[in-house]
Amino acid sequence: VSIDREAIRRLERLAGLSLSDDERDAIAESLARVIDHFESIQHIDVRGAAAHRDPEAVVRDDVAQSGLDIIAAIGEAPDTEDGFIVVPPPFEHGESER
Amino acid sequence: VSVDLNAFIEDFDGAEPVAGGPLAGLSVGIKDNICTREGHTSCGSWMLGGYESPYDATVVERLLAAGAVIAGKTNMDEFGMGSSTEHSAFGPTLNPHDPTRVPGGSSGGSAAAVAAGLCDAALGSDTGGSVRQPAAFCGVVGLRPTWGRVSRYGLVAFASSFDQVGPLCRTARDCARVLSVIAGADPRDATSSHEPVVDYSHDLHRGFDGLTIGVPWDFLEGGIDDAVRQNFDGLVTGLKGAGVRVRPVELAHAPAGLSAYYLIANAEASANLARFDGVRYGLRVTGAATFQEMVEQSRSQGFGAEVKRRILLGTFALSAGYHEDWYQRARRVRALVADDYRRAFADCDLVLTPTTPTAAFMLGEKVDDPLAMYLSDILTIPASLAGLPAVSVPSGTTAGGLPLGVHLVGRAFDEATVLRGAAGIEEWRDG
Repeated sequence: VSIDREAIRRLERLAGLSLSDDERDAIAESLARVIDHFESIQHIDVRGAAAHRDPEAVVRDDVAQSGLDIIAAIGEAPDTEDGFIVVPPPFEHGESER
Repeated sequence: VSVDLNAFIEDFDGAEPVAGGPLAGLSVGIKDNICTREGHTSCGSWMLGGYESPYDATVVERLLAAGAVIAGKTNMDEFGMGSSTEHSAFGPTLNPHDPTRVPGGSSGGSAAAVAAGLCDAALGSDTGGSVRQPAAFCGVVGLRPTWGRVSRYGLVAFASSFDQVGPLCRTARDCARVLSVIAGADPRDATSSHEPVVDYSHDLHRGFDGLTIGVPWDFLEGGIDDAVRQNFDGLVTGLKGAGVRVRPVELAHAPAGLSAYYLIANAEASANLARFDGVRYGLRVTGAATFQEMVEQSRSQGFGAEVKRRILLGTFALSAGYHEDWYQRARRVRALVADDYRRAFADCDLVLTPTTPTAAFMLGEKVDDPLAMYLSDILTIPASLAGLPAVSVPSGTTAGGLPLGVHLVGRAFDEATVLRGAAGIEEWRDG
């Protein structure tokens, strides 16, 4: 498996990260060594082995219960207005018309 | 202690405890990824610097109701990702036995605080060994309960199919007392088990009486320091001499566990940590022109290097073209490791190994070498993969006085036997 700068760029986009060039080089080098080591699992005979499954979750009774009130729940949001969370627009001004 | 260990990153005032509870007056440190209404919950990360939780985690509620006093928040590797507590926005914690060495991680603050007598007990969280490895490095008892035994409501998620809250204490008896309080079903955590909770202290005095110990000798070939091996061999000989039944068992897939674990755990982490986007809580950069820019820049500034590396590793394992050969294959290897334990437990009650391949390493020794750091967890990871209860117990020291620990794994929900074994080791050690 080749983990080069371009591969890291692709993973960054998928993961919602944007690294500096220095960070990208350092992570590409270390990830390549880690993944090279992990390649050992490619040699394990997994024929007939089902994938691990977690135990079934136990859900509580389907009855409405009080939870956190809205003010407490958004109390840590970096920007709020009238009980709503404020975020920047999805497009730069004019971008949606291009 | 004459040096500041940086074990606690925040001290609490210590509200008047509930009188007469089973943990009355016990002072407990809480790992910084477990939510407390008092103080902050930052997961050792700039991303959550100054975060104030609007609620207590269930484990904290239960400790308070049992009369414990919360001493404060303990340092940790950022979001639980590390084995040395060097990956913390608050700086490293030092090992109380030698401040030039790491306390282990990621629950290194909890282990150092208990070892140094700064509190009576502490809670940590264990994903691949984050309670047990620091317990071994600091010379305390650290228990990872069965997956589902303890509620995770209010534990900030790292890898949900592995994460479990566990106590670090100076004795097996204290671990049993704390577990008896924090264990049990919680309607707010659908993965918490309804298996009955027992009094984990009740049978401790029986030690290894009637139990058979299995040792996976093949798994222990190579990669283990001489001092660790000598201590372990001495323990096995000593237990046999004391009449304990010891027999070889096989964990054929355990050596592959490390790779499977880091692929699955980081795949889960890449999904769990997607919630840190600068919207609802945590760091948000100012001046971003678009939502996407704000998310990328906030995450890139808020997370440290190891967290970014792991998110990218997990994203790799889940990405198109690699998902089947890496993530799904790792899940099959995980099932094979669990099968190995099932077979072993047909012949024994507890599986015994050293907890770590080395004693505590030097600060800075592995911090720039992620693979070397990951290999520090090789002996604790198999039990995590299988979701089984496991404990690290101090078993002696190196010639230089560094603590060493041994590791006992038991059947699912049989913490009572795991802790009996831990008490048996203490009895042998203190002879």
